Amino acid sequence: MRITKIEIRNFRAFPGTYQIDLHKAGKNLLVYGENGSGKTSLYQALKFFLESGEGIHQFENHQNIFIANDDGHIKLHLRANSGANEHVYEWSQNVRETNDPLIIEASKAKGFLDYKNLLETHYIYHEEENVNVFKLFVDNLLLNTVNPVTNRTLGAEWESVQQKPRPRRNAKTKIAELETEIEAFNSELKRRLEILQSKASEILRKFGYNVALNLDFQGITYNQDKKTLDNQEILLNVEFFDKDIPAHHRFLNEAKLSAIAIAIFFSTILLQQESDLKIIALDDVLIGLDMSNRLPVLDILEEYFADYQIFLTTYDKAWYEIVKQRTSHGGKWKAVEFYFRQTDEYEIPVYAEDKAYLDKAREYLEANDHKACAIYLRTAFEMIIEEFCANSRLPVKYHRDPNKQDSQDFWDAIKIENQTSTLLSQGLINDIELYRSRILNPLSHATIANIPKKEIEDTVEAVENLKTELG
Amino acid sequence: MNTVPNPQDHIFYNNRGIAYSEKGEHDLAIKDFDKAIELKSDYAEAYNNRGNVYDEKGDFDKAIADFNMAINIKSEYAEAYINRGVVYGKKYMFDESIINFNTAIKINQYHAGAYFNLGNVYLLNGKFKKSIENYDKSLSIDPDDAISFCHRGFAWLHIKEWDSARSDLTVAKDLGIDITAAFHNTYKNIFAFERRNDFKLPKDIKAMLLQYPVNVYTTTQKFVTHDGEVRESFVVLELLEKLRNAGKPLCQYLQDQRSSGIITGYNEAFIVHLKTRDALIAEHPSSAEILKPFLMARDIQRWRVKPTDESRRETQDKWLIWTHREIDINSYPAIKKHLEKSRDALEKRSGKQEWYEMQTASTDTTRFTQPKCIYADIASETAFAFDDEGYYVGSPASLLPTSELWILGVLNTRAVSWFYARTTPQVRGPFLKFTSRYVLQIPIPDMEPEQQALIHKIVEYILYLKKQPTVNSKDLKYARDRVLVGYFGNILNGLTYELYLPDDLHRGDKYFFQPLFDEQLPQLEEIQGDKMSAFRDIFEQLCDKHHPVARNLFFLDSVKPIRIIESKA
Repeated sequence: MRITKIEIRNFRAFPGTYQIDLHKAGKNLLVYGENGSGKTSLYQALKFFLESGEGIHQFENHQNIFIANDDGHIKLHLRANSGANEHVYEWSQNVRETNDPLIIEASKAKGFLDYKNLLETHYIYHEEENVNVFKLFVDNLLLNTVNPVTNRTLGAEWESVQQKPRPRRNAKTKIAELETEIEAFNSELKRRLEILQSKASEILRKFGYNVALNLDFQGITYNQDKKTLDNQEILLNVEFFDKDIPAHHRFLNEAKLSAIAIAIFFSTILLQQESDLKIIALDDVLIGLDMSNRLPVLDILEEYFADYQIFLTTYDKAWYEIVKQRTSHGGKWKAVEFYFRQTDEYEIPVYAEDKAYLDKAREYLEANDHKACAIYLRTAFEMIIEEFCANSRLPVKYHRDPNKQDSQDFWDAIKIENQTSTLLSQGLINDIELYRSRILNPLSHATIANIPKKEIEDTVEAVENLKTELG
Repeated sequence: MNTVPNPQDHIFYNNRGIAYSEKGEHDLAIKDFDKAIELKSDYAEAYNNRGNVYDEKGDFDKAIADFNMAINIKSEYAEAYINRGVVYGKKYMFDESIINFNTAIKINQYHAGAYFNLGNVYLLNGKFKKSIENYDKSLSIDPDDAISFCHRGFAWLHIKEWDSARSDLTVAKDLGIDITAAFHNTYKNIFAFERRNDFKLPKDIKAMLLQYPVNVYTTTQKFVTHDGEVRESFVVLELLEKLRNAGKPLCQYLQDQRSSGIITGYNEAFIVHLKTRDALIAEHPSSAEILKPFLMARDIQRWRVKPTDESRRETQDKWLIWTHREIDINSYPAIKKHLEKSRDALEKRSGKQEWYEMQTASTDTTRFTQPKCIYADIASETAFAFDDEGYYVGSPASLLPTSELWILGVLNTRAVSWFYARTTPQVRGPFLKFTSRYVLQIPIPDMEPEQQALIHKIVEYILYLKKQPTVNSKDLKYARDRVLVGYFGNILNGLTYELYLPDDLHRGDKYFFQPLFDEQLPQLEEIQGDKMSAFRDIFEQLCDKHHPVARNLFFLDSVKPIRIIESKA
């Protein structure tokens, strides 16, 4: 079972409708997105969609705040295989088709990890002597691991233990009750860690670390005097070729801890049941790894999770290009890019299938949404000139800070080139210059409402001509 | 018989266009109507139909153009007028809208739909009386028009005619209209409605119109009836009924239904510690005859009683002085002397017993000496223990005179726990009272002998395992053994669910009996050598992520009733 299409409407960062076609085969998805570009909203759209079957989330709480009076939805199109019929499942304020067993099971078995889950690794490092990974494990990596005795997740059990009233010394029955619950949690966590440490060590070897992990958990205890839950400790030891590293905290820098965390995370998925619809989503989690440790993750995904559908997002453009290159063969992956554009009211992510931004601009023009039209038009314009400069190796003004680079630099480079070899007609250059100041300009959207439709239409045409002439 | 249509036939394209538009395939529908019109340029119906598809797509101008064409071709085309009126209404051009509906009425004064739509325009424009008049007309022509009832109900709401609104909305609902969806379409939600009108709707009408997401399990919250009684939701009541219907009540499996524990009336005198017991026997050997190993409610756990070490009998700390009704106290001088110390207190007890006798207890010892199930009268969840060591049970604890382990197995499951918590009054906080009146009503699902045998076998495993030192050890070194015994308990949950709710589980492809039959698990006594290590092997096998039992347990809560029972809905 694979996702063949994702449709998001007015959800979180997405105003309007966005569609990502993963084709009949249900390809894996690689997403590049600037911060704030909707990359994380896409990750959340998938996560919340799956979890909504369990009744955890209400769609209206995630509705895009700028589109208050227009309903939104997330729809996933699913296929058992490329020859099978397509089924569409919707989650919105009024429809919850996600409580289908298929989705509930997919949610239980899914593997979702984002960079926030790994933030804990930054704090751990400073604890020097003992590397205590209890919080990292219980609050993040093992959160959804199901205890086979109680059918509840370790996350839910730990939550329940923490929320129970802390009984006084002489409240024997209450203490016994709390301890029974702690015991169930302790036993399964201990057992699970033992299985995990060998599986995770195996995966860590793929990162090139020939080490054995040792996870030491002595069990939570209830301290009747202080009414505290003591021993919230899972101590991480790393054995190097069967010898303890003396100053292992120097080995365990943030990057290595991230690698260990990811190895543990993968192990938790490998050791649990698989649903029909198998989803793994990693939102920016590889950023914490050294470059040399990121590529092995692709190998691990390939080797261990071949029948999972994988969603990988990143804001690191260089890394995105590498992964895109690496996964471009075999047709198992689709790579998409999200950009964000500031309007006078809010930022909106800009995304078009196969970068057909101009087509999108036309669509919005016809729908009389001039603002959205202008945003896509500007994106199209910038893509065209940037791409042309790159392909023709035109000298472009260099900025030490890549964020300072703007479309003016590329447009100037093209104009200079145009003086020697006529790329563009003077008329078109004049048109573009005119519209640049009015429509193709990031600051002009406040006034966009006052620009007549005709003028926007002309701009669309000008950019279309530009594309033809430069193409 | 299928007839092959002539593809050149304009009627064929028109009809296929209608079929496509009914399936929501707008573009394909439009293509077909295009073709029909191409084949027959004065095909008014095709124009009208295409107009409807454009309307559905939100392309109102194209829709109006098509209705114009249809009307040009066929000037008495009432439907096209109505459709055009509806589209004008969507464009907020209400005057044009009203003209169109009135024209349709002129053409056909018995057109219910025209009045209905006219009513809608007035409703939208705040002319509620006028809208009601038109719905009246529509209903006088078509008295079963549910949607007219529904909208007239909405109109009554605006002018606070609650009784009329209530009655219209109820009729609409009975005629099959989803009135909450209709309300949502018209007003978004109740709060928007109340804000817009600046008044509050009566609670019962609000409840009629509350929008629950479709396909969501109906809430399992308890609701309060108008006379203040708390009732379970229908979903819960329905599920309770399902569990009841899956078998017979527990009482039908018991020969003897007396169950209460012993009340001494003064435990300080009748219950003695090991040291005193030994002293009493040393003082006079006859004391041993009426000193019985004794259990109290707090000693009862799920499956077995505390303390849990093998050598319990020798270190058993609580003993009951069994001075029943027919006893000759003078045969037990040491005991008599011991009780004499508390004579004042013993005399003050209510009841007709002699001062040295227990307050209530039959002379019959067999109910205690026989194998039996024991339970505490107050507990937070169902916990039945098995005892075959002849314990005497003191109130507030009770016993079930049965040695059928498969019954015990069923009783100690989440399904029974859930059933019981909903069919018995709560005492305080999370505690439930376990009185025989309710316990004996627990439904025990019908099953085949081999199913009984399987449950029996697993209960035997659990009872054996519960006595093992590693399972009882606090040392986390043995964590796996504790998970192991818990896992067998969870397997019983799965098996019992399958007995109570076979159709629901099998529809979700969740089977437990068959894969466990296939496993051919050994009987406890058949396991040779180190039983514990054999159990570890069985556990690893059944817990493997690819084993159907593990898989089905893991995904069990995707089955709807299980979600309700395990509070995941």
